[in-house]
Amino acid sequence: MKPQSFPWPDDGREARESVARVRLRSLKESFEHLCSHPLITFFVWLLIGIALSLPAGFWLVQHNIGVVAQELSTDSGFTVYFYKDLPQEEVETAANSLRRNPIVKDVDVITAQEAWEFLMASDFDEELDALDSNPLPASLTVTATQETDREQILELAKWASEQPAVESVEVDTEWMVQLHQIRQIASRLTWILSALYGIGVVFVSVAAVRYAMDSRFEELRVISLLGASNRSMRRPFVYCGVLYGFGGGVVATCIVVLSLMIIEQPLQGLANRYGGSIQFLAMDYLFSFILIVVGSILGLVGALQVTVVQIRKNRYSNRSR
Amino acid sequence: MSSVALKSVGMDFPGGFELFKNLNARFDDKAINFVVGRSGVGKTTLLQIIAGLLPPSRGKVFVNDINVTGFNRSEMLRYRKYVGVVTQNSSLVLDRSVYENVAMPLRITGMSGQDIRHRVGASLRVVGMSDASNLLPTRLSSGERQRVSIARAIVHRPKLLVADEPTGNFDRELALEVLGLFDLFAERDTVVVVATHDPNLVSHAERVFELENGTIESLSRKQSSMESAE
Ligand SMILES: Nc1ncnc2c1ncn2[C@@H]1O[C@H](COP(=O)(O)OP(=O)(O)OP(=O)(O)O)[C@@H](O)[C@H]1O
Ligand SMILES: [Mg+2]
Repeated sequence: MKPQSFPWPDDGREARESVARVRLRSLKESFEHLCSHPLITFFVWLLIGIALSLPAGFWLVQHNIGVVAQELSTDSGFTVYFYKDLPQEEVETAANSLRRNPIVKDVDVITAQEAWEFLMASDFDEELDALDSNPLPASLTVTATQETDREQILELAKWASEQPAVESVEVDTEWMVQLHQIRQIASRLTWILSALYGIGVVFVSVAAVRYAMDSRFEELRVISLLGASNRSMRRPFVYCGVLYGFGGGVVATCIVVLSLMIIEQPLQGLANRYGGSIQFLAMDYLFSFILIVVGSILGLVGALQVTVVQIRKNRYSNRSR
Repeated sequence: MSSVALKSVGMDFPGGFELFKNLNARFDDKAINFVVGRSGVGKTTLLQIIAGLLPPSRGKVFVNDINVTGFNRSEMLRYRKYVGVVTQNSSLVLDRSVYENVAMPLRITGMSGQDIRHRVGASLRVVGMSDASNLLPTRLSSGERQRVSIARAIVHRPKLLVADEPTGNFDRELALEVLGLFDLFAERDTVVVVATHDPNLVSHAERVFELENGTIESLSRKQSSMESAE
């Protein structure tokens, strides 16, 4: 070696330093880390992807139940059937007393004659011709107001059924109620799953980033010795966590899309049975975008936590021994 | 004109071990400042305090009459970008190439790739390690690693250069060349502090400080008496 001359002759320009370049460099380092541990990266993405896809799938299911319920929802209420050959006045009286009830939105009177004519208009002509008198009773279709809950409707229906002129009461669309209940359960499950799996994703990110830091322990120790700030030491690992979460979100999107493709046919079959007008919500751009953003944020949270703890522990002490 | 001054610096370690009682010294540029002393006397610790890597328990460190011990974190980080460190055991990252190791102080500051190439190339050339640029440090001898470590310490043109046994693994000829390089920095306003236990290295040195019993003493004026005693 021949240090006869000073190695830094003035080259006429100060080397340009840049904050943006430091960040870009960190991002590059995170990419390099992910690429140099492909198997780990793959499994972390898969793990996060599965964890995210479960609540996402549940959300879609409960959302679609909601769509179905909306689509098929008739106003809730009940039908009152009177005894045969009841005088029309009594029917009107009953209708009026029901109309006075505040939860009742509308009462539709169907006289025996109307019911008969309606039936006659259908295709059963021949069988009906055989009947010599109208076999049908008069009935009331009672529609409750939108806000009324089921308990109140059932109570009113019970009251109606206890009236002497009433033969039977049929409460509408029991299955609609069940659908609503299922949706409620699915919605709560979605929240529980989201919370649990969200925490799971954070832990996966913590473990993966912790591994990344450990695998570069020496380097961290040395750059800390060379004057890197804690923040700049953390940065590539924080980016790593975000990339893990991001990739996990992409994997989750793929999982959900694939699952939807598999169940699409039977689902559409089901939809067709109920009029076919139902458009199930599949994976749209917004939903996958949200999924990816949520994944990235959870990855970020895990990475922030673990990098702060690791560096505060001062494991990369400046002391060079 | 640059300088580093210690004012009543004391250093305790956990467990009540008092390494430094009261250090007062002033290190100037224009010539290398040597710090000598037995093993375990605290040379490495002193250099780390000067470099801002270790806060002293008591007292103050002034750099160009600015109190460095009073710096907050961001000021300290800025200060440390002007410090070059050669550590006792060369502290290279073994799974990064020689080039990457030398580039580290520049990467920290976010220098452009072009500037980095320029600087790292010049730095490696000056320690005679250009050919090893793409090798991993594991392939190098300890003397070669030491040279890479020196290249890394000077690559960002430090205003303060602290070197802990920088010539420990060198033969005399190479050691003198390294000191020649440090002299060039000293002449250009860099304060150079070199810790060594090699008496031969400092026999003709202009400025020598001795650490002993938790104090520091300038030997420069006692130079002749020490030589006659030998
Ligand atoms: N972090 C620490 N905690 C406790 N004691 C420490 C710590 N760092 C250093 N010491 C002690 O301080 C003393 C001085 O250590 P230092 O490394 O500065 O010596 P040195 O003069 O550089 O020795 P050598 O010539 O062998 O390199 C040693 O006795 C060491 O055990
Ligand atoms: Mg030492």
